[in-house]
Amino acid sequence: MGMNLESASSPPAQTPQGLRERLFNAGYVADEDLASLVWMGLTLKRPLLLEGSAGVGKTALAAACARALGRPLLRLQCYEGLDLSQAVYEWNYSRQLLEIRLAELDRHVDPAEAQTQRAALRESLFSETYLLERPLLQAIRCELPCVLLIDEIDRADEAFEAFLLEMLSEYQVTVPEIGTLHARSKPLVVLTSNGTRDLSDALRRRCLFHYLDFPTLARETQIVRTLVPEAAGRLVEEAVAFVQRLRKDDLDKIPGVAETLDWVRVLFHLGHTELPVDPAVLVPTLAALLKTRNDRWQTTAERVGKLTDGPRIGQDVGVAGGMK
Amino acid sequence: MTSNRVATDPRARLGEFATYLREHGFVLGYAEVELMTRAAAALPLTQWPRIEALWRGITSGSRTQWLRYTELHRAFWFPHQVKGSTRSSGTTKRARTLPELVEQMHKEQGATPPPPTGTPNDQQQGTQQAAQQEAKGEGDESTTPPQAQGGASRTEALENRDFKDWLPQDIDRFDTLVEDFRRRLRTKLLRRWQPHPSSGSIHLRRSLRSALATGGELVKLHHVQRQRRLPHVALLVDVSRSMEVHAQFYLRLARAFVEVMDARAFVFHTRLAEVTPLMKQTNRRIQEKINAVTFGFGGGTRIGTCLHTALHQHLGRGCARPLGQGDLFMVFSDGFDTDEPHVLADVLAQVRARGARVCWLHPTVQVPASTAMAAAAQHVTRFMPAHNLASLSRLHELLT
Repeated sequence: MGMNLESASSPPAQTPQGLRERLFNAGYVADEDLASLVWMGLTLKRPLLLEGSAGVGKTALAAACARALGRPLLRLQCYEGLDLSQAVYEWNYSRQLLEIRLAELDRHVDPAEAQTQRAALRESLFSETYLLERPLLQAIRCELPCVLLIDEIDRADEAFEAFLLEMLSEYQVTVPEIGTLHARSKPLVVLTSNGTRDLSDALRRRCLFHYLDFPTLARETQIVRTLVPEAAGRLVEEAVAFVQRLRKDDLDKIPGVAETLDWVRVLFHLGHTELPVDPAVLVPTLAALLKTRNDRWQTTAERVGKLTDGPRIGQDVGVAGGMK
Repeated sequence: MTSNRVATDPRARLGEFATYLREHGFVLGYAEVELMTRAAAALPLTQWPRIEALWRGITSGSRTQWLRYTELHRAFWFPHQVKGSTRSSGTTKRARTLPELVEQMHKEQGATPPPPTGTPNDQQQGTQQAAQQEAKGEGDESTTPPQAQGGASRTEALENRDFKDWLPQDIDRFDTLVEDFRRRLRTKLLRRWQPHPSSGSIHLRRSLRSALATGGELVKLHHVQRQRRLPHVALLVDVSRSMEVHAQFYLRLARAFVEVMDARAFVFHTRLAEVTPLMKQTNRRIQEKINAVTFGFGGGTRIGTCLHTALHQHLGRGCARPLGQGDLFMVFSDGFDTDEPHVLADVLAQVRARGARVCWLHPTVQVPASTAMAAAAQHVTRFMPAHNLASLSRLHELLT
């Protein structure tokens, strides 16, 4: 779950700067704007809506927030056809039936007592005891606040998005058989979207919006250095400069930070301390960066050679080094 | 008297800022304005420059707005730092600067109970108050009418301006138009069934299968409903030389259709090319690519041949999303065709034979009167001029 007891007992981050440092300690390099947004979400109890391409660190931010704040992370992965029974709650029918059958077997009680037991059973069958809590309900029924990640909300149906409105604005869930269940603690809700479809204005209005773009050269270098500290500094700088250049190419799927991290790890495990000079050595490792057939096909050894062109990549690295 | 009130009340200035953002397409309600106030009050005074990041998160709802916010924020709060900005000579009151505004909010926050911890009633009252302030803060209409500040006019003449006179930033309006159009489309009932959480026919096999978990008791019934889908839309944009002036706006309109309705877009002149995949990408250089595809050839038009190719090679049976009953076949063209006149009529007849509607949008006020069009007119379900925004606002008439 990523629970950090030490930070759970420490006071919450009071300023954006403090929160930024906490996120950094939790392994997430956030810029000032993003840290301010998370701070505001915590202060004003507002959900965060993060939009951006795949692999830029949207989901990682939620996980880092959980670690930084010492809260449990609850994750709901959205998909087409997701319904309330998988996202919010479901009645435990098996257990309810079992209780009914057990009550039927108990024949030795007198009729008056049996009637009382039946009435009690009727009352209790639709109580919270028989409610199976799914992530959304779990998040608001936690005694201690948690971080709720609603991942890829754009994949869910519009009906589910509409249901979320009550949950996100009031932090409550209405179960018809019981009534309205209010939040015991207000979670930090992080919604992520890849922008595959437009979300409703109603949902957007309830959230604080942030668009996560691909990081700059200096920031991406810092991220990779932080998360892959075992890799040589020279390798990190050259690899990040290469990826930054690759992103300017006409690719179907632009590699994100996650891909850069994977690639640097691959290069590190292959024993490289700097980017290999021979493009033919580099091409097989690009499987970590390029994820479509078309991208693999067009990124030939010749193209890689141009991207790793010595003096020019040296200039990029110089820029990254200067901004450290 | 009024200017004194403005000078002491930061909410009025914030209201002006909210109005300013709304004028630039941001969707801001009273709740957002109140939230901006709360964010400013909650931020430590020493960190007031971060207010831009906080307000950006509150006011933006999409990537476009998020990218544009910084420019608008600086233009409103720090106009002297923006190159090429001018100071209005019609205003005599001194506008409150952002640091002063944040400081004032902090003072108020100290004097009154903090809104975040207040009861819902308090918050509602605060919202109403903010709403009133904002309504009043619209530049103090009693003294300075907004219609005539420094000789500038707010009259929006875009509605009737011809597309050839539009600026690139104006064409964002297409998205709203297409959204409206999509809402009016009647969905098609398909033969396929799909699960529904609560209503429709009972799916007996699935219900019995799930009853195994409850000892054979049919506790949970599974329902299915007939699938519904929006009609397929195919857009064919004429990019020949005669359409050079209007083609880029029609392409942007086509892009809105692709984004909002998942339509398929084609461009044609003497040949036909599908540009749907290009229009779905968000790559910065995508417009250059589309331009390369569309304007690379130039010259004449073979409308009949191109529509035939589209119908049989891209929208025929066996293709992905074939054209069928109730679907829309929309052509954006001036109708000047170099094919034999009967070719166009024949292909449009084939489209109609499939049950699809043929909508012809032309850049002229009058219906195209070329020989080919005269022969094909009987197969066109509806002609519609599309030369300005006002004419496009009648897009829904294509469905009647």
